[in-house]
Amino acid sequence: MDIVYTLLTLTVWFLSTYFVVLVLLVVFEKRKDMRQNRNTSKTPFVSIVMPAYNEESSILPALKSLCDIDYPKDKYEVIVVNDGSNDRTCDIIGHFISSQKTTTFVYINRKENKGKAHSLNEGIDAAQGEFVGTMDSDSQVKPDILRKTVGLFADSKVGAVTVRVHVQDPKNLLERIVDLEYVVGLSLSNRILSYLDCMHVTPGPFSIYRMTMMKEIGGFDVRNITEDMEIAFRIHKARYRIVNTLSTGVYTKVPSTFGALYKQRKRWYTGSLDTLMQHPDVLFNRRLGAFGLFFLPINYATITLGLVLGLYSFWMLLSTVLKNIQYLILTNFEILPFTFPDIDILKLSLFHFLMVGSIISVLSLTKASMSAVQRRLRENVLALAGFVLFFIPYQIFWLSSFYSVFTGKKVKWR
Amino acid sequence: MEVSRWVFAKAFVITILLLLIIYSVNVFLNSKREIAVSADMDEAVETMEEMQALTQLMNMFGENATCMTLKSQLRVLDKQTWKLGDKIESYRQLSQEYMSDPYYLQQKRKFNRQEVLYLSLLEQIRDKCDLNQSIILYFYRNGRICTQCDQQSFVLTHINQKMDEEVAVFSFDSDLDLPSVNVLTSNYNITEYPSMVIEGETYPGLRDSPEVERILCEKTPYLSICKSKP
Repeated sequence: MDIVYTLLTLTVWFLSTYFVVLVLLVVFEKRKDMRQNRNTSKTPFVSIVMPAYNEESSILPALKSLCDIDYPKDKYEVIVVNDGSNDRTCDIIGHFISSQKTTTFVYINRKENKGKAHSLNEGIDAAQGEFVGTMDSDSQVKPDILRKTVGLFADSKVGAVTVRVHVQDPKNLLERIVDLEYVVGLSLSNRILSYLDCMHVTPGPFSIYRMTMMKEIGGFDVRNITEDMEIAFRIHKARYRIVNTLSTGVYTKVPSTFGALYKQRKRWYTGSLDTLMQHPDVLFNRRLGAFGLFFLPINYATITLGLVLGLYSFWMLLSTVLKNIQYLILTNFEILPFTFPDIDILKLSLFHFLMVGSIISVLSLTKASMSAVQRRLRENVLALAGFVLFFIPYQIFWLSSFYSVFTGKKVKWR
Repeated sequence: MEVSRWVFAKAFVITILLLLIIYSVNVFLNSKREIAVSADMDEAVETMEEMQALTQLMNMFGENATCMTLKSQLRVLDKQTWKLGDKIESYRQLSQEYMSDPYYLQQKRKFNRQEVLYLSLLEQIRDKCDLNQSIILYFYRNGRICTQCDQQSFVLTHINQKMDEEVAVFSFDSDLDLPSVNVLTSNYNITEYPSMVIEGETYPGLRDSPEVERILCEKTPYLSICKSKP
């Protein structure tokens, strides 16, 4: 193995393992606090903004879940923004709202499609609440979503609260793998990042913000395709905290095909790179504490170096395959009877140990994540195997996203 | 922040410790690899010394008394040499760049010297004991200098596996600059790499498996693979 490959592997291994060790240490330190919630008897007025674009198949359950929220009906309002849908979304919203008597709905019906961030801002402008929640129209909130989040704003420095994102009814293997990914990435990791003041996203399915802060930072950025990530950067810059709670959550749909997952991830990852390029001053920014000094540099360095390592490994694999084809040609495709090679433990290299170390890291992180959300790893063995191998498609998603960013290709929401 | 700032330092120290553990296991295995190579080398040297002694006895008591033993020792030595060569090469690849590579280079020099000795013994035994074994000498250099050497090595490994005891392949690394190997390269007029010497005749350049078999059958038609050929 050449020295560059060895050093690259060691660096990526070190950075990713460091992150896992950090997460596990925080899990250990906060093991009693992990699922505790700070209930409050106070019921401040809350507005929930839900933009919708061509969601005829999923908006009804979303609206119903908003009506089922366990919170005084006169203390929250739902602002639905139809973003120029050209399917039956508009009719469904209209019928549903007209049949509702208890929950307060505000309906903004726009003919022109202007995008999610624009719709959110329009809804926020119309909102009356002390806090404003944003919700995707293909998601469903748990009834206790407000009771378990508004209390967290008792600390005046908390600008946003995020919740656990559940995958709604995962059926096929891909959905089950993504479900596991959400448990690790959007549940435990977010909870830990919240403890470290390093939350880098306020997930679109449901997040809730302090209205004064929202006005102060000027709402969502309409140019960014991952507005939920971009706003998190500005929340940090405005010196507010983003906290997470696992005690409540939101159910959301995830892509059921690889093609749909590719589109979603390309948007996420391209948006993530765009956001960093939009806010380069966050990197190594002492004012932003661990978020600027630790999380962002390590996160983006691991992603970039991991991608270089992935490409390097792929090139090596490809050259080995080509070499073997060449060998077969040289031996006239004569295959000799197969003999089992001698098992020699001494042929194990540093790379084998690093690989075993990485697999143990992923398994430990997954186990800790499943425990944090009180689920059992044994029931998801197949998805777990797929999750461990998921680093390959991730590399493809990231490669494609880097390509789009550097060539200036626009990535659309849909 | 809701956790102690020291958690970052703690995680750093633990990760360094994990890396050190992995590195230590690798260092430990490397020492075991060196022990394994040295043990195999000692075994091959012992067999070689035994064969040298038997060759001396052949001069004293004649072929009838020693040929059977020599042939069986030859088979043992062939297997030992093959195993040793493979071990040195594969272990060296694992240790290269970040471990004690000079050790493997030293072993390779020793191995090449043993091969020269083995070759001279085989030449003597082959004549006197009527041994139907073909001899291929293979001269190669570092893969960065000799771009086709890896391919030629693969072809010869294939031939060796296919013909087993009927062919003896001796590989010589010209980069080691051993006086004994240099004598062979000048004697067989080796000017380019890869090059092969099959039954005393030099064949420069890359040769594929069918061509090597054709040359072998031309030179030593008694080989079993030649019987099936028209």
